[in-house]
Amino acid sequence: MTALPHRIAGAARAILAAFVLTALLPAHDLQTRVEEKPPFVVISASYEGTEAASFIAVTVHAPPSADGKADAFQTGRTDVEGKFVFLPTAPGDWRVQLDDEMGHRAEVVAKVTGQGAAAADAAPPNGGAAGRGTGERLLLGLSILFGAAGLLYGWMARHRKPAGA
Amino acid sequence: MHVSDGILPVEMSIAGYVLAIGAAVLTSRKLETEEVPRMGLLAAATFVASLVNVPVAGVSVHFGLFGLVGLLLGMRAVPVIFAVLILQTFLFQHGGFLSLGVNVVNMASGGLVAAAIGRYLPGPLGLRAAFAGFAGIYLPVLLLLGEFQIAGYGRSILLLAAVYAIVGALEGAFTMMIVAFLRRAKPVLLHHLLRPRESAPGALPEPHAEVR
Repeated sequence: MTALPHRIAGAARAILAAFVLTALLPAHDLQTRVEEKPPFVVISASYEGTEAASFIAVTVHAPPSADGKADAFQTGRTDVEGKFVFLPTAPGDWRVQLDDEMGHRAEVVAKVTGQGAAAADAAPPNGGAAGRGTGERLLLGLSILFGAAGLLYGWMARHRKPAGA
Repeated sequence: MHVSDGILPVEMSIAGYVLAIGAAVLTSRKLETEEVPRMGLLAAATFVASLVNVPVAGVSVHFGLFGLVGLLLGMRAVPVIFAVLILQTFLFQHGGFLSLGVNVVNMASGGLVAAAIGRYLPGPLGLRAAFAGFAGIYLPVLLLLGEFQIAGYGRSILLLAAVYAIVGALEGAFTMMIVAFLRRAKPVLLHHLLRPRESAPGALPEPHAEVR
């Protein structure tokens, strides 16, 4: 058991180093940004807001009609900087799907006003902590993992049957 | 490698959840107290490693360490990878909530196969570790390829498979280095992987044994 603190200290150093490294490197979830530049709407796609999602597939759906249908209005691909521009024909909620065809997909609703103030309903699909920075989310995840392991360890140690029982 | 929602059919997502939860329950039985700290540490390591993005040939890929987790934890890799993927889904939006079960099945399969390679494949430990590291990350990609074929999705997945072969080679080398380090510094962690000849007295000297 005397080796345990030494082992934990070594592992903690390695994880701290990896944490620093990770804070410098981007992760890879697909993120989107919407801007209305009348008469156009500009969609910007990136991985974690840092690496442009170039040449990924885009499908634009017009606002639903009276019968609730929202057919595809336009399809295409982002440019090398991860941008895609389309020309909406009416105000309303324009749904834009982005897909890199490698398992990463995002959907954003561009609320077109026609006055250059498109708001984006770009809430992350899983909700939660996406508004926080990478480092903060990483720290939160590590805290949860270590906390859960610690609680489980404590609970199991407390309920462990004595040797020979 | 984490599948987003809306790509796979609902039936496949449900089957993924059933398989993932079933496997996690089965592989968590008779858990010993001493295993828990190691599981926690490896979960943290996997969580961190999979956030390191490596841009290769215009494709965004990342490490997994599923091979290392499988080698060191055996079947306990399944609950560890499950826990890590839950956090990645909710904290980093890596993969969708509906696809979580399928993602767990894919990546835990890599860990389990790595565990089997480490335990049953012939050859020296370093070679087994390298192969396990490669298989741990590459098997999930192959499973993903099959699932995308069934779902009729994706054209770039073949490029991803080719790129992940490079990542697999890197991860194999990294896993081999970690195992070599552990074999020298803390061989008790590799006890279940060592063959009788490898663990014979004198074959694995304690650190600084020659000084004493």
